[in-house]
Amino acid sequence: MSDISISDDVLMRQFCAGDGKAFQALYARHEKPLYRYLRRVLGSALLAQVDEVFQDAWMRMVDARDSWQPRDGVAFKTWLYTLAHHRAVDILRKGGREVSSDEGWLDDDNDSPWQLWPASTAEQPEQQAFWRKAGQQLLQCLDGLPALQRAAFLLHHEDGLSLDEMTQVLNAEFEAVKSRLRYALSKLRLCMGAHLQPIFESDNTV
Amino acid sequence: MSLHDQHLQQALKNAPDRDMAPCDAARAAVLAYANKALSGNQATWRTRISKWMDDWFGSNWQSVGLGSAVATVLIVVVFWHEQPDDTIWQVSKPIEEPAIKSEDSIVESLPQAASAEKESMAVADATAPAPAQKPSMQMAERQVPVVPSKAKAAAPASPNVSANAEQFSLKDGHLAEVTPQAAPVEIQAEPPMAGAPVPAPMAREVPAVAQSTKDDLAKSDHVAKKSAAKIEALGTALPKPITNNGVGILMRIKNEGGNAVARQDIQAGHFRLIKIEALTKDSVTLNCPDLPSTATSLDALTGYKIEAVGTCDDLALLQIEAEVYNHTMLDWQSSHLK
Repeated sequence: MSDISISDDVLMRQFCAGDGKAFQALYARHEKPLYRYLRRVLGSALLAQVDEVFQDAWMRMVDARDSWQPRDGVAFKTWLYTLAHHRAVDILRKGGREVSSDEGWLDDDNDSPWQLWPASTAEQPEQQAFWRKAGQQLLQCLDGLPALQRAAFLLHHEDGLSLDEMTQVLNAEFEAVKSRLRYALSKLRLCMGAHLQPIFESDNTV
Repeated sequence: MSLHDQHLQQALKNAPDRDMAPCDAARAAVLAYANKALSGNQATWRTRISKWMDDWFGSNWQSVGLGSAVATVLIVVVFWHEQPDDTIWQVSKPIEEPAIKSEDSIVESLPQAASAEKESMAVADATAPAPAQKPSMQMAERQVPVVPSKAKAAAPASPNVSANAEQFSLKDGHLAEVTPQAAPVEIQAEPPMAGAPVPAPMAREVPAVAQSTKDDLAKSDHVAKKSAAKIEALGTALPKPITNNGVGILMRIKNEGGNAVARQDIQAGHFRLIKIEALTKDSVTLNCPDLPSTATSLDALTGYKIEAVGTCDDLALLQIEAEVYNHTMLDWQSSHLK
């Protein structure tokens, strides 16, 4: 059942037909990515509620299994993330966190930090250390983004959803999704560049 | 500006929360919930039809109106088949057809073992009555081949068929030779029921069925004896199930708590889940009624037995303790599987 060749949609059909092992396989496949997504979207302020939202998202998925229909362009993963994202937004709103996304500024010329960064495929120890610090810093930078910009960035860069799929999950127009993603990238580049450039320079001097 | 940034993606891959996972309790709760949903409510007929239609007509069959068309056809077919079959009334009517039975129908009514005899029947066909006088094949079958007096003791054909004397005389010689071989089993005939027809196909196969029934009975008797011996041997080898009839487990989880009882059961090798059912006391005797013995089922996810226990008192408390008990069991099961 854990065979990677079996698609999510097939497993979901089997689950709808009463196959418990198909659900186990689906859960095992999406457990960590979905948990990670919710953890990052909710941010450090709502960390305590991540498990609850995660559990609730899966339970909603189980309850809504009869309404699931594999349609063109809407895979099981998109549907699952839609359920989870809506639940996360509910929690964010209740928690008084910023949910709107299109506010702020956009600086398209902020590409300078990348000139100093090592290649993303680097395998040397010092470069690996750099990327670990970069990852740590990115989580802090993400925390500073509005929730929907954060969600757009994570869905695209972490979970590999296309812009079309993101319109489903975020329940937004195509242009709005693009706009959120663009804002998110711009802010993250600025934030990352400001923090990591000194680190990289100090690593090089050693 | 590009909407994809490899550097940020690489940083994301190296983030410290990379291997974070939900707590075991959340995982167990999700799996238990899915399991409960499956065991409690299997996919409805609507869902199954929908999935079946998806498989055959693609995922957008509903939107193109094919769904309603196919559903209409299904309904028509179902109701068509549920119309009463008028022919059954025809069979019940007194048969007033001419007594002459076609050679073909007689041949059909003979057991297959009589294939050699069929050749001689074919010869007799040459002198058979004109086709116009033959009853239809359908009627011939409904008239049920009549067992002649000589073969009656051997053949198990039902005697509640209206006998046709002319049919006896017509084929008496052939039948007397054939039926003893084909139907050697003597079966006590039931008292005749007036006017009750016997389905023709059944009557046609009666001798062969009788033979196979005898063989089957002998085989099944042998298998049953072997199975009984195996069950007896297994019964001594397998651990005895917990025999608390539900009442014991209620007292235990009420007094000791679901977690403690589950741990005891796990140590004892008794793996199961508990389902608390609310019962209402008898208004006259004020006794709590017994839960039907059919309430026990198997958990599809873990394979554990789900023991349903009924209670009239402390329902909320017992449900919580049962939930704790089940969580402990599922936690152990999931950690054990890891």
